Formats: sequence, structure tokens, C-alpha cells
Amino acid sequence: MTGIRTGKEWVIVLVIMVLVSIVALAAIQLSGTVGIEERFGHALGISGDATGKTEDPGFLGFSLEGQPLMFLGIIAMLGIVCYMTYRHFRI
Amino acid sequence: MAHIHLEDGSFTLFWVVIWWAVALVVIGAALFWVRSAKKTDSRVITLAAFCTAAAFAIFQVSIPLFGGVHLNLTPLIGILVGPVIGTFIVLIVNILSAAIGHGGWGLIGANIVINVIEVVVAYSLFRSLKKIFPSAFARGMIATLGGLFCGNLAMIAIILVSGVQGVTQSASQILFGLTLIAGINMGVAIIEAVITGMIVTYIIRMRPDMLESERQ
Repeated sequence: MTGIRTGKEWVIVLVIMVLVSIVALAAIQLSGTVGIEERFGHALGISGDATGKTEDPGFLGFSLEGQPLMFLGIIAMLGIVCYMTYRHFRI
Repeated sequence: MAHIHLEDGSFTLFWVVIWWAVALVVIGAALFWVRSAKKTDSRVITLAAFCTAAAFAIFQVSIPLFGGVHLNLTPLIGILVGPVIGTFIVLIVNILSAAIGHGGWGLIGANIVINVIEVVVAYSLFRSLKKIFPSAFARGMIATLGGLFCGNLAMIAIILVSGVQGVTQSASQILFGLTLIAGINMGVAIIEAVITGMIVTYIIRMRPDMLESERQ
């Protein structure tokens, strides 16, 4: 089988993107703009508190899940592992 | 991305054990596969380290879109390192996430099953669609959307089959609510698809030897 010509390839991708966007926008209209935990709470008929989350304003709307110090510690550890792996294998 | 955003105690002990058992079988199969292979490519090991760090970091960030969403890069993991090593990355990211308080320990088994499905489907689509979609960017996007769609279906199925303790909704109401969550997740999947497409294209341009599917 030969590849789809570049133009047709992107038409297919675009059509899929548009369809997915329509579905997503419809879902947002129906559920409202609430956080993922609240959305789960609404879907299951449990209160927001039952999902165990508290509101964190974060920075410019971006916020971290879980404990920030633990997050930074694990990121540092993973960074060291990445550096060591990169140096060791010399890829 | 698909991820069951519920705390410990949401599933009964029976279902916690069942999903952990399923996850352990999948991890065991991956371990067997790795041990039976002659040697794991050092490039894949290095990529796996970077994928683990990136997936863990991005998964903890709540993005202010549609009220707050997450990315988790599971399709990118599948495309870059394959389903076997991808299974181990998914395990590590889920355990580390639970360790910092993002998600319950009891739900790790179910979430591993969902994430492994995303990894496997994205990997399979990216490889199998090469002749139909020669562009790595387009193929990466399609593979990501396909993987995340299947992950969302798995999430809905797991919750419906397991049931959640303390719910007041009927099964049809829960299905409707979860379908809305899946719909919104697919909106986020478009962003993840673009990011995945860009990263895959960049790696193929700079280091085509890093991707097994592009080495021929």
C-alpha cells in the first residue's frame, strides 16, 4: 500500500481533530468548567470533598497535585538518574 | 489522558485486589519479555529515563483549561520506548504520583491497566500506520488520539465494572457522567497529540536512530 498524498493525510487528521473538538466542546457545555476532581464527583454523585482534593490557586492557574516538596525531591532524583544514564551510555 | 481521579476507599477491597492482580500480570509479562530478550538497547534505556522524568513532572501539573486538566504523555512513551519498557515507566510514574499524594494507592492497579492500554495502542498505531501516514507528525497525532480514546474507554469500563462505594447515581447516570469526562479528556488529547507529534518529529529529524520504527 502506498502512502496517502500529504494533502489527503492532513485532511484526515483535520477532520478527526474537528470531530474530537466538537465532542469535547459539547461535553464542556454539559458539564461546565469545573476541575477534574469535581467532574468525577458530579459523574458519580459524590461530593467534591469525597475526592479528597482541596483548592490550590497555583501560579497563573497552573497548580501542582500532591506535596510540592516531595514533587521537587522526586524530580531532582529523576534528573540525576537521567544525567547518569545519559553519561553512562554515551548515546 | 485517562486516569481514575478517586481516592483510596472508592473501590471495594475485592476490586482493588483484582486490578492490582491484572496489573501485576501485565508487569510480569513485561519482565519476562525483557529477561528473554538478548540485550536491551542502551538508547531505549536512556529514553526511558527521560520519559519517566517528563511523564512524572507533567502529570502532576494541573493545567488551567476546561476547569483543570492533566497531560500524562503515555502515548509518547509508547511511541518512543515501546509497550514493554513503557509498562515499567507507567508503573513507576503511578507509584511516584501516589507517593506525593496524587491518586490513591489502591487505584494504582486500575490506573496502570488504563495507562498500559494507552501505551500499547499508541505504539501499535504509530508503527502500523507508517505506510498510510508517512508524516511522523500526523502519525504521532493519530496514534496519540487513538491511544487516549482507548484509555478513556478502559477507564469507563473499569469504573462501571468495579462500582464506586458511596455513589448515589444509577449506572446509566454514571455512564453519562463518565462519558462527559471522556469527551473532555479527548479535547485535552488534541493538545497532547500536538505535543507528541512535535516531539516525535523533532527526535526523528535530529536522531532517527533513537526510534526503532524509523531505523530501517
